[in-house]
Amino acid sequence: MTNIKSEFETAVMVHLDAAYNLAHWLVRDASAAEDVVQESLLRAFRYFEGFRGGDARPWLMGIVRNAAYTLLRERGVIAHTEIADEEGELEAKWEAPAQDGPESMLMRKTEAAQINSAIAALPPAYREVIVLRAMEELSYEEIAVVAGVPVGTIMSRLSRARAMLRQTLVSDVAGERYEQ
Amino acid sequence: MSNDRNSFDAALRAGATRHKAPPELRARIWRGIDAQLQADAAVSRAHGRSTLTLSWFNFRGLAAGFAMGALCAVLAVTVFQNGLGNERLDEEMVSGHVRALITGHLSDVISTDQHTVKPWFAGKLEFSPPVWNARPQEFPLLGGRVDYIDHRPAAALVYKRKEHFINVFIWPQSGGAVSGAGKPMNGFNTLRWSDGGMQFWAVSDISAEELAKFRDLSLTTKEAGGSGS
Repeated sequence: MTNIKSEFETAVMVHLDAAYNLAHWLVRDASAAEDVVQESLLRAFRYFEGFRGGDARPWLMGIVRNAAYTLLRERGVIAHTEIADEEGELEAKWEAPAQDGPESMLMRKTEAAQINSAIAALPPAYREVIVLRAMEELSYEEIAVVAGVPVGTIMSRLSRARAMLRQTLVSDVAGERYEQ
Repeated sequence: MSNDRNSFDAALRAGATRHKAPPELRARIWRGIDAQLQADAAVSRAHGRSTLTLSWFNFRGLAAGFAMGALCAVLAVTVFQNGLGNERLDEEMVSGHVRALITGHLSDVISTDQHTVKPWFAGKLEFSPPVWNARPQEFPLLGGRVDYIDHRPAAALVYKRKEHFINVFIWPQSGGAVSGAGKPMNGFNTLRWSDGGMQFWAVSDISAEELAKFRDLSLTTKEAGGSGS
């Protein structure tokens, strides 16, 4: 009994901060994020016996992600349809990124608050890949496991997400300069 | 280009807030885990006897000669599949029911409308479980969730009878049809049936008679046939 608990601590509970960060960025509310994480960890513990070896982090993040989306759907924040539908619409709105340019130089000067609000403004499917890649530093393959989509989809979502952020942040910086 | 991507990500990482889990969340999770372990222990204590029977069979098989051993093995397997197999599942079902009650996690989709609950399962399971709400006055549907039974995902529907909850676990039938009631366990009754290629295992603390009535109502409801929309 204590044995399974210490195994769970070493393999899963060590990723509690990562789990909470993802939940917080997805549901954007501290107390809802706590509920999502608590439910996910209890669920992970139930299925822990079925989980054998390997890195538990992508597995746990997948559980957290699903719980967060369930909550968002219940609250009517996102539609009951798959997020793939949403992606089709966005594709029309967002053009492919221009050549990776010197904009990222501007990024360094950008305030943390601007970065936070730019990430928060992304649709969930793009926000999660940014959180998982840039903040939690998961590999493309791991993110594909978490989101349950092919690696290629993750790569295109990431590049689109970076383009959206660039556009928001660069126009923020440009706006400031203009005001000065 | 890949460098630029990395430095872009690094700039995000440096600027964005990484939310840290509050310390009391960790404590709350461990309390929930302890509650789950206690519930599991209570259920297996109540069921210690069946485990004993199984090891006795194993012991006999080992002690006797090869022929005797083979005979015992066949016997044990038969008993396991027909009797203990169901008992083990009953145990798992009761355990799942108690856990759901203790952790307050009965439904992931909360709706009294079967047309909301049924589509919710799409994409979460490899089969489409029937969802019915035949007698909302007597046995109202509360919602559903995905559970894990017998090493595979199963649909769990939640119904209410007065102040009591009924969990119905549903997954595709693999062997023959199942039917009959399990031995009452810790005050919980179980009842199983097959219909339209699915097996249904109901668990509740309502009486065996009431649970049978619930099954009969479910069987006579057309939607329980599975193919309904």
